[in-house]
Amino acid sequence: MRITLHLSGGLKAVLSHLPEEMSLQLERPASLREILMRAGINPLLVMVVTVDGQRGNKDQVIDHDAEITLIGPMAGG
Amino acid sequence: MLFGYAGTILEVDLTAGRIEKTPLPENLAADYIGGRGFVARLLWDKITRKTDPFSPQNLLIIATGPLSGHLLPASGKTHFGTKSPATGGYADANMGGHFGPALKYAGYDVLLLTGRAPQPSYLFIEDDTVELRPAEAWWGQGALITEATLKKELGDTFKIITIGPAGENRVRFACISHDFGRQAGRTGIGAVMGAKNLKAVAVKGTGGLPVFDIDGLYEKGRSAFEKVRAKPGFAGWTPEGTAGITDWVNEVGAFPTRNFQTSFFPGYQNINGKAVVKRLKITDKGCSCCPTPCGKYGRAKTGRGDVYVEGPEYESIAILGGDCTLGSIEEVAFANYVCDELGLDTISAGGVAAWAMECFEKGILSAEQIGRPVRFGDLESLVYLLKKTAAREGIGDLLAEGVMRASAQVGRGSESFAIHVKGLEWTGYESRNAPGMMLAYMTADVGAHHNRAWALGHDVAGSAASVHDLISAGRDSGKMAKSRVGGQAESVIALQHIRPLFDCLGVCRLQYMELGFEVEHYEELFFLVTGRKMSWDDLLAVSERIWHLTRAFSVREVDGFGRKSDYPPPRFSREPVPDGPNEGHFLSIQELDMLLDEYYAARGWDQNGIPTKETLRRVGLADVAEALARR
Repeated sequence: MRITLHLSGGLKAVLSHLPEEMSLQLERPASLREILMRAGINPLLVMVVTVDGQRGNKDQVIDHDAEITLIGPMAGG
Repeated sequence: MLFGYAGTILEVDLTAGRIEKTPLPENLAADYIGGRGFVARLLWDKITRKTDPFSPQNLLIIATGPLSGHLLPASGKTHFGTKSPATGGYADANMGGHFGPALKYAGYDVLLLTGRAPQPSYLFIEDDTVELRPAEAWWGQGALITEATLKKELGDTFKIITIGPAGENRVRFACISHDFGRQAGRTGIGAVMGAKNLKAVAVKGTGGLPVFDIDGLYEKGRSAFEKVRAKPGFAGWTPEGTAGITDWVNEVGAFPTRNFQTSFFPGYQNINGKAVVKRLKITDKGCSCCPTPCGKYGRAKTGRGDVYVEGPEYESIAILGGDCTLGSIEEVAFANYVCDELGLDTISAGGVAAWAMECFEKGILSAEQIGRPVRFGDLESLVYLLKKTAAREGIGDLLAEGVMRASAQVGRGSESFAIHVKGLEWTGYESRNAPGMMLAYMTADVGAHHNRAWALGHDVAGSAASVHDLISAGRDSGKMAKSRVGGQAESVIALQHIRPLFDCLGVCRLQYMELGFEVEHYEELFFLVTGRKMSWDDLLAVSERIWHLTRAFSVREVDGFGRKSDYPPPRFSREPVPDGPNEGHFLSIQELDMLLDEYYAARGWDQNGIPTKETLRRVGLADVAEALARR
């Protein structure tokens, strides 16, 4: 499975050492938390995820090729 | 010709009814850009030292930026400034909506209000026509109903700001309202407007603005709008707006709960962004030219009746919901509506109410003193406190002073849980395990406000729970590790220059901060509008100048201002978080001092937090250095 991770604005600022887009190859289904840790991203830093454009959650298991967008924390109001 | 600007400052002396229009000085635009920069410099130059915030001599400044009102993303921002009745120092507040653009189309970059109207009045502005009109009929009315009534009378094309009873009664955290749910919320701006006997300002502008490259701006503005909406985060962020952060703030244990006694609210899923969308929202609502409407206009049905309200956005959820521990999003929305109509800043009002509830819980204030029992989690208690405060009736007269003054009067240890810095109540991030965010609150120029530097993400990223630790531990949630203290100053200072820069330009920062709309676009837009080539670093240098200037203003105006003004309440350095993800954590006085020492050194301030003469000269404030030396 080929997983593409996109970092959004807030995350780019905090994880400035990482590229905006990353690709990973998965050999077995994995939760988003596991995928993030494998990519070197602390899951606590991710506020919202979308999987193929749909709102997801960090416990969701990914078992297919997917485009995943990671939205970092933001200030409110 | 000053491209991008309307070119005129409109000054109204409310006492004499004198109206004066003067050209916008080119050096003011060059050295301070606009918005917050104009506010900071004009306050420094025009306010007589030690002016009482409620006196006619205080100024209320409404300023736009060079990008305000142009056809580019999120150009609807307006900046307000004054000498704060909450802190006695520098004060400003930023507001979305449509007022600033309308002011510019009427021909004015800045509206400068001084004096006090002899009777309740409102200011009418339609292009060149500027009149002070009677407003006795609306005095005592709510902020929302006043706006609706004025719109009926003048027409929907007028953009209107109003105050509610809280502003009229000089509640030190009264706000200015606009567009049925947008506020210049913080620092007591609305109380200054009330002290000026000014109920509202209505403006309609039909003019244009000079643009350096109109064809280029049209193309760039359109493409920028499309690029923002194409950002990968757009679909995930916009539907819930700022309320969408509620889950995450609880996950990392930073959610203010029970007057900041703890930092995790077990009922957060009843008041989060999903609840807003599912149970309240009717439609999205955005500001002028906004590609990412974060406002959620909705209807809340409660046992006290139905209300229509914009929001609640995150800060109102955190303070009215978490800090006062309301049980449902409908209750939060109802309390939000009550604040909006009364003209109370939801953040400070919620903080004050939570302090009163804790005083009651601890037996420091009795039911007789308050007028009834007031308990966390009880909407009736909260609404009672809000109404009493806005009217300054009974206990409300004490609460209207804000937690710093109220706790000084009540004593009995209540000072330790009066959650503020410099007299401004704390916003929605509990920071006992977030040293960067704590430093940001401590050093924010207006008091405990998050929007100068929001460093919580950096704290979580830099915590001991690095991804490698997590992998080896086989987990990534549950308890947070104790954050390392030290090294936070650099990122906090960088953020303190970036975020307020948007308040100078006159555009919203969310497209940059949350969606990653690149800085190159802002450099290009600034050039196309103004014809001035400034790199992002050039713009940040102006923002740094303003930061030193606002600090200098508070040094000049507040007796004894300095290091002691920067400490958080004792709760945060004495009481470990009792439960939740950050259980056991707090920042000791020694750690707070380490944060301040690093920060002052990096800023070029002395050990007492006063900008040095050399620093002020370096950033182009030699005259300010001289003035401080003479004080």
